[in-house]
Amino acid sequence: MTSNDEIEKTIREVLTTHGRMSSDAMTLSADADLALEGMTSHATVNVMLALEEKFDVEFREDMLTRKTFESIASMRDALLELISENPS
Amino acid sequence: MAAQRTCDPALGGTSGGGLVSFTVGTDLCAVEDVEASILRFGDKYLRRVYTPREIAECERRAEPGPAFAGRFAAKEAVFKSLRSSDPIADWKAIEIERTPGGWCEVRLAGAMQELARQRNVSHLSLSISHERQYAHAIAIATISAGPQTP
Repeated sequence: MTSNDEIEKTIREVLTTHGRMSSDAMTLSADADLALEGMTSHATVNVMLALEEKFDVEFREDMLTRKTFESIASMRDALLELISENPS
Repeated sequence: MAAQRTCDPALGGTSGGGLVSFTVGTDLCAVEDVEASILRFGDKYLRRVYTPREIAECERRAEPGPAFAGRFAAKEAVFKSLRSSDPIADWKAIEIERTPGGWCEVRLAGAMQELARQRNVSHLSLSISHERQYAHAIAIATISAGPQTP
């Protein structure tokens, strides 16, 4: 079972690599608005694909919204939902 | 999924003489970012963002990178012109098609088609331009004052 902390750490690593933000993803508040931190639409695609790869899941079409990718916390919650739907 | 061809001349009028307004969307996309995504994620990236027709059209080019970047910018420009409250587009539901004359048309499907209907969009005009480094697109949505054409 992947813990919340592990998921959040992985999200921060992915954001560091693919988020193209001006802020340090490793120290950013989990609730910070990532669009305001500079994450573009195209960077969001890369973050989504990298998270799918890391967690071996696929974001559903209904998850492709601002709500899902607006913060580290919202991505963590979406991933927890996907992982619980497809436990390995 | 049925697609609405928003650049069809039949939808390009002025809503029977009623008032119209316009909303504009624009986007700039770095070609190297798109090429890096293709290199890093390959088909998975292409299949999540572009339709099979778009992939086929871009891959026919000697340099697919600028063509893909142009289409991404176009999708974002169209999306912005639709004035969604949610800033993340359903990219594949906005399909960009190049006409034999070299101009681009837009086909909407699914949530994007529904959004255009809610906004009373009767026509979408699009222009894409790219150099080796950047692709840029502008979309103009014509908003009819009257009832939307079914």
